[in-house]
Amino acid sequence: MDIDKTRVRPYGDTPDDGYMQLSFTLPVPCSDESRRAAEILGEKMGLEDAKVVYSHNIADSFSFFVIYGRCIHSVDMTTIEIPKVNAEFMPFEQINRFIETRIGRKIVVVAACTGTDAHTVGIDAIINMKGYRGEYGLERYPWFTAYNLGSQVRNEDLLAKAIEVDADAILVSQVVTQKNVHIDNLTHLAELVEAEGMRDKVLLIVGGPRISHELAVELGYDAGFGPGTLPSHVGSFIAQALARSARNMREPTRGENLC
Amino acid sequence: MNPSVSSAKTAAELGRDDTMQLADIVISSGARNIAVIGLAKNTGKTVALNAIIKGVQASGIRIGVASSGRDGERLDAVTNLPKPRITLQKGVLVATTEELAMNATASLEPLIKTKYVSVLGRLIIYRVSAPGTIEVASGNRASVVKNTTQIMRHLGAELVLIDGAAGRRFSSAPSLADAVILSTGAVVAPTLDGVVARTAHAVEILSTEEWSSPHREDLNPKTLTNQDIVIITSDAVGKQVQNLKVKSVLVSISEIVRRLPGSGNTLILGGVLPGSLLRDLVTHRKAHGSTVVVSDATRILATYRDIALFKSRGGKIAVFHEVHLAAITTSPISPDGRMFKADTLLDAVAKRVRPIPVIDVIAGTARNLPGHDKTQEDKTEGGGVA
Repeated sequence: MDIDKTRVRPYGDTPDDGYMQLSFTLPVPCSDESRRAAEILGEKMGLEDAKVVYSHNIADSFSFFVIYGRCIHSVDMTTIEIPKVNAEFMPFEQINRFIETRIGRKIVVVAACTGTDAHTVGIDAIINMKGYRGEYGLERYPWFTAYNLGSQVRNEDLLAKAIEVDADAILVSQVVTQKNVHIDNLTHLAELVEAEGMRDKVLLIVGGPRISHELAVELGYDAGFGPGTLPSHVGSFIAQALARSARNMREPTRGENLC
Repeated sequence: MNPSVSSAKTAAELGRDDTMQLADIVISSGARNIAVIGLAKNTGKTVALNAIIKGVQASGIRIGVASSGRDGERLDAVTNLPKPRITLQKGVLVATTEELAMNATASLEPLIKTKYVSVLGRLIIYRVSAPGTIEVASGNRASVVKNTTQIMRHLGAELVLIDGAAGRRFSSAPSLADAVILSTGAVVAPTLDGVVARTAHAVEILSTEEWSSPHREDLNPKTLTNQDIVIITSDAVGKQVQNLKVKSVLVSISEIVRRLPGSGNTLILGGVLPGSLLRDLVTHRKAHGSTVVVSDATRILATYRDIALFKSRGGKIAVFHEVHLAAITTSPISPDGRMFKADTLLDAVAKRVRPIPVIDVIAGTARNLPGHDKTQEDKTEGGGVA
């Protein structure tokens, strides 16, 4: 199918018809009036012909809506630039071999959900033995030593543990992002690591549903992994970044002169 | 200097052409490395940076521009709202990554390829050969920022501007910057009082004074690492100095507190000052009246509440190297749509942080300017600084 990348529109029933479905809650009881309000909201959001296809009372004064309508907007995908992590993703065996030959010792990682965050699903997927989506977590890798500190860990305790076990990488997971609390929390951790003089000694990596590499770099991290990340992605990045920094340590010059 | 199309655009972005105060302060501070930091994202750091760039460029000073995060991007990485772009004139040096440079509208001549590679690409020092916009990301850690600014100085930059990253303050360390501009604004707290209080707290921490003690002579702060803790106790018997080697203050707080011989101790930390240490000191009677000394204010990572409690029990915090806070900028608008009256915010902040100059760059108003009546609004002086 030929798609015009400069005008990408939702596919509803036929190409480019723009039809899409969205769901939301309004803080009012379910009624003919609130159903109409949901449709008007959809229209204001750029949906033509918005129709409520499902509605339901979910509490005394809340109702849930699904609306279906034709989106009038399109997106020019040729203008979108998303930085990709500069690591070549390797499978389990290859990562272990890479660490064995290029680094020659086990890589130590310390991981936690920090701040008020109690949602360990992300960090568990990356670290725990049983892993995620058919992939083993880093605990299962013979060339990784992984410490999973669990949830609601204070930044100070996370860094203390990293220093105690001479960690090569700190992995922090942020799932709760209400009122952008993750920004303050991630900023504080990066400041702490820098103030303790540890920033050049440890990789700082963050993951979570609202995390991107751009945000991670802005806040002082080496990488930021979003939804769909697998343990081997994180493992590949850490192994290659450590191999690169080990190489850099041996380079006495600070740059190549292009003048 | 002939105003080009792009500089006219910058002026339009900045509202009125009343942005000289900030550039004046920067130039007259005599500083060679200036850090612009913010209390949070969206406090107006890039607007302040643009005002400084514009004013300093007009005066003919050769500048270098670096960012300790990511600046001049089209959309905010959290809110997805449009951000102010960074426009640079011919001759300016800029440190950014190869990938970001490819998207710049400015023409760039690569000068030095550094060894640093981030997820945004390899860091290169460029010279602008034709004006335009650019996204700047020059390394998000102190060692890289320091190295980058040194290379730019070496290449002829007389003034290096280091833009901050979100709410991070590490770039204000005296080892990186000899003057600091702090941006605050409506985004920092829901109420005016909240914004003013949080700004005043940040200013209090940044302005932590130098440790003045006869014992200072005996210590070279440069040799201290995060594994060094020095405890100095002076009493009727004489001076006692303990040099502790620890893995980190974060690991050894209870040991450190246990080692305090009596009250009135001075604790010198080679690394960070964490809130947990202050809370422990507050609960130990013999730790009352202690002075904690760190390298500089960026090492103080305790909350204001912990600091205030520690101070209320007679504790003191001091630094080896003071931060020079040259000015504060205020932004009355928050990306969530909240807005204060520009002058109300400016006045309220200015009153709390006197005598530090406070400037609303967009409105072109200022308070606490040196040599002006403290309540009188400053009008732009014609002719700028050239």
